Order: sequence, then structure tokens, then C-alpha cells
Amino acid sequence: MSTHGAEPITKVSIVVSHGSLEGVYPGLIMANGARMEGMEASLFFTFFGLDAIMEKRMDRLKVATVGNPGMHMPTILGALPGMSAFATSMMQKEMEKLDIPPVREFLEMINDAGGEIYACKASVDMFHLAKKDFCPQVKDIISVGQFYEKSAGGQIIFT
Amino acid sequence: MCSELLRVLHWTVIKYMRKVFEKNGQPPSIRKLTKESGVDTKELYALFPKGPAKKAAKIGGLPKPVGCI
Repeated sequence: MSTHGAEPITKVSIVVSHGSLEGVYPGLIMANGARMEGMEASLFFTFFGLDAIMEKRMDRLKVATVGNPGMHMPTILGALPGMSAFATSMMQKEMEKLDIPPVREFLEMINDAGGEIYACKASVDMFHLAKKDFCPQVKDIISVGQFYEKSAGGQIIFT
Repeated sequence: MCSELLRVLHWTVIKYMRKVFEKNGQPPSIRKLTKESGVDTKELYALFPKGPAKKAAKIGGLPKPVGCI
């Protein structure tokens, strides 16, 4: 691809702030993609994004069927019991076809690839969580200041 | 890069990529590579730093993998 002499991106820090399946995957794909391109990559999970790295919740993320215009169905239908589970299983099947791994495996892959995974301190305190609540790939719980320090010289992407 | 510099595992990866390319017309992306070549993610990044699938494809004389995963 022609870059017309522009400086290539060498480092990205990706913030994941949502806990829905469709809110989490873009950040994971971008972080992994960055490593695939030889860029430094780190993930910073904040607010409900923490669900994606919590042992108890990371295997049960769901697609949002309410308040999600992208679903193209009336909100009242999306609110029916089982609708979110149904949409989630549909999406998971499609992702499996594309060889996109489940969240836990994806995080292991990113970690093995040298990507770093952090939890946001303010959110961790707010939800009364601790390091033990997270999957082993989470390197540290860091403040926003530390996040900016670690992001020095790179691009920050908020999802 | 001279071929004698490539160690056994490098060859495992490159040969596997060429095999997939011959079959599918596309080199495999990292996910497929780690699942099927017998070389895991950590090793892959150690063998080919700065973008393993991209680099291995280049050394193997293949186009850059197009997969996102």
C-alpha cells in the first residue's frame, strides 16, 4: 500500500470502554493487527470494558440488542428474553467462520504476541475489583497518568 | 537474508505457508499459522520479529497475507 512517504505508525494504545461483544472485539482485532504489522500494541480496559478481562465475565459477553440501531430491529423485540443470547450465538458462529477466536483465547494470543494488557485503576476501584478478578494476561492495574506515559510516542485509539 | 541463516523452525513456518498458498492461492494469516504449523504464537514472534506472517511470507516469496486475524 502506498503511504506517500508518511511516517508509519509504530505504536498504538487502544482503550476498550464497552463490555458488549461488539464493543470489545474491534479493540482486540486492532491490537492483534498492530502486532501482526510489527507495531507495539497495548490494550487498556476501562469502565464496562473490564468485563472482557474479568475471569467471571469474559466468556459470557453478549451482543447488545437494545439501544443498538445496527441490529435493524425494533427496540421492543431486542428486549425480548433470549434475544441477546440468540444474536450473540449468531455472531459467534460468523466469527468462528472467519477464524476469530473467543475473547479469552484472543487475549492469550495478543499477550503471546507481545501485546500488553492493562486495567484502568479508576474503574477497578469503582467496581471494587482487584488483580485476582482478572485473567492472568492482565499485566497491571494502571492509572490514566501511567497509561499516557506508556503511550508516549504512539497513537491512542478509543473504542 | 541467506538461506543458511534460517533455522529449522523458520523453515517449518515458510514451508507451511508455501503449502497453504499452493492449495488456496493465499498465504495463511497468523491465526491459521499458529493453529496448524506447529509453531505457537510466542515462537512465531520470536522467529520473525516485526510481523511474523508478513515477514515469513516475504522470505517465502509469497504475497502479504490479507487476513485480519
